[in-house]
Amino acid sequence: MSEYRFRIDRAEIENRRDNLRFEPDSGMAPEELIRGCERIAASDKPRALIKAELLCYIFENARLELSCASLFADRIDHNGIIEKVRRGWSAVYSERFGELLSQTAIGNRRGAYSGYDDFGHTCPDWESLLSLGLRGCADRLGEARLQCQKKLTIQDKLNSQGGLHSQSELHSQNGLHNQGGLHCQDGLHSQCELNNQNGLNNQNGLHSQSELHNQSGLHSQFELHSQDTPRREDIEKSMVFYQSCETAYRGLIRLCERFSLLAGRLGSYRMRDCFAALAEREPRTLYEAMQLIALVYRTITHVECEPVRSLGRLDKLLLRYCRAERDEDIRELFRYFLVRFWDKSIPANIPLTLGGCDIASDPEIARLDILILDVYHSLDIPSPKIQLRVGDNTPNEVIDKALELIIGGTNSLVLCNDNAVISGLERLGHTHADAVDYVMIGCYEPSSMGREVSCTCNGRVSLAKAVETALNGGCDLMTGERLGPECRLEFDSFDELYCEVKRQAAAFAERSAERTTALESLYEYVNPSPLLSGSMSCCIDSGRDVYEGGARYNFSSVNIFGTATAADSLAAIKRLVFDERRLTLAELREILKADWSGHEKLRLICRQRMPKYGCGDSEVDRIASGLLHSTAKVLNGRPNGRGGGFRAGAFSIDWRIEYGGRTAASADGRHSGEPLSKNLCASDGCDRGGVTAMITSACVIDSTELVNGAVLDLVLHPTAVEGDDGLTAMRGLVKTFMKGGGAEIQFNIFSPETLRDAQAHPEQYSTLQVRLCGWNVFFVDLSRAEQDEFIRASEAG
Amino acid sequence: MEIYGTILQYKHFAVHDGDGIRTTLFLKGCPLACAWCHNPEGISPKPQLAYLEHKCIGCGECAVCPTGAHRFTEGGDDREVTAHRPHSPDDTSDHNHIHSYDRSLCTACGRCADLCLGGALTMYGRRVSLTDAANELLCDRGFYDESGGGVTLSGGEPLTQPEFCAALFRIMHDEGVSTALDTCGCVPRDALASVLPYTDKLLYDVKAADSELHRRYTGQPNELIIDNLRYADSQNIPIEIRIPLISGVNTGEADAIAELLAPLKSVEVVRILPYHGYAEAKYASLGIKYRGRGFEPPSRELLDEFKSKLQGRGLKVIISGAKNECEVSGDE
Repeated sequence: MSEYRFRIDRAEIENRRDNLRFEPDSGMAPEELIRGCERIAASDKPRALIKAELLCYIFENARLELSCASLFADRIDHNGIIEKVRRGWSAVYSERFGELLSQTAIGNRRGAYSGYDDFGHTCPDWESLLSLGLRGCADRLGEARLQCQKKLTIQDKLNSQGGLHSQSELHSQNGLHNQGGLHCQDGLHSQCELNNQNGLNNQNGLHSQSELHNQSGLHSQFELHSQDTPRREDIEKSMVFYQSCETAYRGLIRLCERFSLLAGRLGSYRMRDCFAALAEREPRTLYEAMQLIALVYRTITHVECEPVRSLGRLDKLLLRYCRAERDEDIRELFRYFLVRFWDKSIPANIPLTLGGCDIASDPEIARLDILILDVYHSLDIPSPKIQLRVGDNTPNEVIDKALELIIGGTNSLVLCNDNAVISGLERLGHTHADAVDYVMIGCYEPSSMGREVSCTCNGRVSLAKAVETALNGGCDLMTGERLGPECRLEFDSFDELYCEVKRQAAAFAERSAERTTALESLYEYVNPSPLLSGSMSCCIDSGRDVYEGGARYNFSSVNIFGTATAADSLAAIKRLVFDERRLTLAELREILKADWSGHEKLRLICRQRMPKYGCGDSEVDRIASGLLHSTAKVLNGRPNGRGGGFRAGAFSIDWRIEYGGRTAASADGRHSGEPLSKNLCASDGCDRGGVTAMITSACVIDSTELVNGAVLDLVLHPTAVEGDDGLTAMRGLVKTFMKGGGAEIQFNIFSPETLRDAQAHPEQYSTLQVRLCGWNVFFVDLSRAEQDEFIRASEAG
Repeated sequence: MEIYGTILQYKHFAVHDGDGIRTTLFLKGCPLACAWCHNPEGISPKPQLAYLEHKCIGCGECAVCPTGAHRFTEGGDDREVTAHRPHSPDDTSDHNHIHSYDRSLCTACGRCADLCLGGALTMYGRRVSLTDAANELLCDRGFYDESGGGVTLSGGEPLTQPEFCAALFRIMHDEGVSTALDTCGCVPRDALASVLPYTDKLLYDVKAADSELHRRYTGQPNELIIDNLRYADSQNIPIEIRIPLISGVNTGEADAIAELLAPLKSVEVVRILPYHGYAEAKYASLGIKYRGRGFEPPSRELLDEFKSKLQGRGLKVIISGAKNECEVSGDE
């Protein structure tokens, strides 16, 4: 019955999605809204406040979209206003760092390195949002603001008592007061929250407002031992922060009230009551929790413009609400909920994480995971995509369920190795408890849920380009422009050349990090994030925006790629130039410069007969892992511009095509302009030893120093994994990969015949999904060239 | 003294040749010559060079041939040999001419195959030492451990090289790796008996119960095969029976095969392998006449009928095939 109903509703939901129509009289006309926003934006208030007031104004006035066919509503007619405002604000980048940015722009232009801001990989503190609700969040922020107010009053009082005091005198006075004075306790409040409340908050999960108050009460014990009094301007800044967040959340509550009214008017009483509840209190049912997630997702992603790249650990977050529901109701809610996140306008799928070693032993979690996977399968949509965390205690039935989906063609799934990811996060400084509670951001970028926004795509470094510049005195082979440090043109041994490649790559990594660090110092003027930061307990503790280092962990990330292209090139050079002495480096340089012209046979020898990474050949595999290791070492822990550090990853997304286009011919037999190798994979078509050798090679790489993502893609022919034999074998692949220390693995399962047929008859294959980089797309939507690339890969697989 | 084997190839991540993830080593030489054989390169015990004409890119590397079997000539050539004008790489004008391969001059030394840049030349029948073979098979042991897999010997007919098989399996057992043997059974009893003690699973081919029919299509009668099967059955090693099913050839054998298999106590499952015609190109590349033309894959109905007759005698049946829906087990 309900499934039948869903099918009818789904058609309407998708129709409304593709033909977006806001209720005409539900809010201001776009022009009026824009005019109002322009007035707000013109103010000279702190930018955090301007942004919050913009959000609030939009939430209170923008037109709304609501369809009674759906159970969820979240779209509002915001006209991209905030993004436009941010674009204006980001002019400060070039005003302040114009010289650095233009000097290093060549890195990206020539496919060597890049470094930018990244506001596009966020995850709010879902735990706090669900346990407090919007009103609870707003109240918590209001309370924090009052505390700041008190602190200021105290300081004012101190100042007037003592007349003119310098900052240091103030400090000593406080010290004296500490003995018996009540005042200082308040003054130090936020500092202690930072120390104590963090751990408590995140573990308890459920906080009522009164619990929070009690905790504050307890703090006085510790406050006496604190050393520093916050500076007045810091308190003022925190106050602005709290005020901006509170404004945004009050606006969000108002939005819920408006959705509730509209739903009532349109006759969707279930939605009306749900929104009314969310305007008042924390969610108490599965439906309310899901609606809150959908609304927060949409408003942070689209209105505040910080794409939320994880719906969180959905099983862990929602299990408590599921207990009160019947299975069929859970299924129904998940159908409507998940289908909400499939939208062709979404560029890279919305992820959600399931499983994890801290909860996997719970049979209720396993049951919920299987249920979610089941519903997801029945929807046949590429987004959301699912990241399944696999720990030692993950039941085989859950893994098998995921693998069945993958084998069946639903390959919008990535399997993540808890052991590798958790120890990687710990190496970066996460506590064990925070590391265990990680969520996968974006494609495969782990972050502690609700405790960090680790901008996962700030920078890129191409190892393939580092080989190119090492062969050419530090300069681009095609244009002669300087990209890396100067170096000589001849090398006495392979090792010297290998070291030079590492030095070039390290220099690229430094440039990439420098650029990012510079931009980050301006984040407070460019992108205050009241909605996102206002959800996060750690930001409330620190009194700072997440983009100003307010979270517990504040990482920036640089991804290193072109690994196999670089390793294969070096392996070929080692053999041909240094071992067999068939040609000199100078000759090779000229041949590469000419894109092999006149040397096709040599190119084929390089391509076909030289050792390749990904075939279980330990010598080449060590070259690859050595390059990644030395480059990651430059990055990991290097201080960034927002109070945290850098971390390295090893994925390529479609940058391998973009940067490949700017990379000269390489000694692995690659033509100038061809794509570089993908993620941790062998160069295209070079995984000659098959999947087991590929996994063996990938496991040589230490994924714990590439925490931002070290993913292996495998292409398998459907006949290789059919039947029960196939399932067992595939589980064997996954487990061997993980036991060997691999972090993330994903599959594409299709035959070249199928793909060719789909290319010829797209109308018959409208739902055939392929995994493109870290996300999924429908095969028929790809360009002809991209389709051909997949066909080639499937032939090689 | 080091033992050597003559092999065709290793196949890593073999999934359907026994339990779990396996590496299958194909050995060269077979006493049968089934008309439908999918691995014709495995029949002759001697090394053979395969030449896939359409893959030749005219790189000219194979001109190293010491006997002159590979020749590059300008213009036409009237000899009765494979002659091919390759799509040469754009800049190898010095090789832009006709590649001719004269099999009668070829000694199958394999030097050309090592150099061929287009992947057109493949050498079947490399001699490998026991140590090298064992090392290659053991490099995937992590996968065997995680999936309950192991090593499979197939062919050709592995038991044409019983000493090599037995020694290899013994090493695998010493290393704790499980072993499976894929045999046609048409081998001397001694050969079978020398390898079975180190065999954890037997994959045993049964093509026909009728000896005359068997002889007509495989070149050999089946009495020895049936005898060996009964012997193997008595050794308490789990057996998977494999039946290649070719429409109009052995589709009428269901009852007789069921009769033969039903009393055997070690048979765990019967796997039906429906005939497919994909091997024809391989024959051409080896210069061997393909005798399977005109064979047809069994229809869905024939497969079902065959299967149910076996199931009727209490046997568990799996149908292998390119499509998932063919995978049905007997106890469903």
